Amino acid sequence: MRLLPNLSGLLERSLGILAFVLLWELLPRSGLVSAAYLSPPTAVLQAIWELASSGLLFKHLEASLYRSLAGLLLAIAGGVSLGLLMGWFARLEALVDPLLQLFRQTSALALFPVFILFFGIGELSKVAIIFWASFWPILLSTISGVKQVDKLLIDSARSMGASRAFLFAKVVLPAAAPSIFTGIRLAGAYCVTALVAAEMIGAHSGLGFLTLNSQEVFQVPSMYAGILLLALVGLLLNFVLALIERRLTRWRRGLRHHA
Amino acid sequence: MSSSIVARDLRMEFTAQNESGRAERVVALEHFDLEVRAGEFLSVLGPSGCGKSTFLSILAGLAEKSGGSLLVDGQPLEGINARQGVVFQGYALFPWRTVLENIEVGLEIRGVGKAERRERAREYLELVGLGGFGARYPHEISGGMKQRVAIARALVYEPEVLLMDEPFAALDAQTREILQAELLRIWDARKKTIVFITHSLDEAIFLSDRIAVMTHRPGRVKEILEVPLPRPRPAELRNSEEFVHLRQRAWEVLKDEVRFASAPVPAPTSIRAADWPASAQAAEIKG
Repeated sequence: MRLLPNLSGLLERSLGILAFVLLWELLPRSGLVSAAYLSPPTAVLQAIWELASSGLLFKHLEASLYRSLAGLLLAIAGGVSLGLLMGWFARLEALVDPLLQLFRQTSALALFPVFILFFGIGELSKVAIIFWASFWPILLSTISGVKQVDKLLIDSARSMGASRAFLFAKVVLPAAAPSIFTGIRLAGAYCVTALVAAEMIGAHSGLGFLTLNSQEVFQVPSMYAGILLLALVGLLLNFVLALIERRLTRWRRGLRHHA
Repeated sequence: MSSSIVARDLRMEFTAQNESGRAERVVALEHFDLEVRAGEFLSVLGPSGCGKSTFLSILAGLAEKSGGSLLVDGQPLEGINARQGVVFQGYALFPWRTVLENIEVGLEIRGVGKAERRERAREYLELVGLGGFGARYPHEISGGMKQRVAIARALVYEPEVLLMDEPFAALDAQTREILQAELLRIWDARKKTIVFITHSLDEAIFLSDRIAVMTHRPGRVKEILEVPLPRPRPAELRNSEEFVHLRQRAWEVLKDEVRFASAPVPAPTSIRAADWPASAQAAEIKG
């Protein structure tokens, strides 16, 4: 009984994707859209298979994952610690906030030439642009998370004699965690965007490079393969972050409607 | 061991924003004198906004007084007094900790080892009648249960004084009466000094040895009422002639202050929580 609605629900939800894939396959095959511009999914899958068997796929994937994870992890470490400090010390925030507002509005892509100037065309500038793009949402949501911590909870811990360190680690941090994770999830999405941009300018590996390079040499199926793989990386990243969030804020289960 | 508290000429003023958004000096307490005897149950009764919670914040060390003196066991109070526990109206439980972990917090702060922490938290969980609910999260239990947890949490590190800031004000009438009776039972078992803030005449009379009635803002103690009712106090006591008489007296002291506090509305309905049906009281005994 229970299985039936689930099955039909699953079917309903996959219907859109199935129709899309079908249309995608049919358009170039029927000649309505030139196959020189749009490769059918079967051809794209074949391109992925070839990339995988030649070992190229893993080379590109590894390069992309390394850059995005390095940038994102640095952004998490920096954004959360600075955000905690700024949310806690109101004076510091008042001092730095106007500057931060300016910085966060400065597009990471616009800054890329600057990063190249400083860090060269190698890995460092790519990690830097990903860091920049991911850093701001984490910082800002951490600050707002800390500022929104219920004063009653702080008072309550203080009344029991809590030290500053205890307040910070055992009250402020867990209370701000949901907000911090909202920022980290957003950063995950920004991080992939910045990754593609970085790899399209002056890179020799990575999925972004694969995509642009394939287009330049008219390997259209492998261009679409690159796009598809980038989407998968984005999905995977979001999935992993959501998983970590669920583990660390497990107490909120059953509280979803308040979120 | 219980401790005594002496407040002399206590003064508290702060800057707050008024309705038009302009900064305004607010004098919450002025010429506030109060003596709390070791081991007694003292209620501070007053109209809303009279500064009674401000007094409690100062006593807890959460707010700094602007003037006067406050002695605990003859020593001037500085910062947080680690020998008192506070119970807030809003429960203030940590939502990411289970009931048992919430009760453990004070012990954790005091560096008590994990096994002993668990054991003592369990004992106090039983004391407040919540054995079996230790693994729940605060959002999974009712308001009355949350306040029981908060009481256990404040008691578990064995403070000498328990400060309670309108702890039952957010609860429905029946739960409230159940918890009042529970509190008396616990107080009887653990003999602490209790300073209990309330705006309910009935609550103050039912629970206390003495009641400090406060004036409207700036608050000071207007009169101290003795409550010579025998203990233990059953719920039916509320219907006794003595009780009604005490309520009458307390109301006489309080009513001008309430009129002031709630002006221009003359009817002080919020203060008179005296008219609960007897059936509610009977139902509560069984619970």
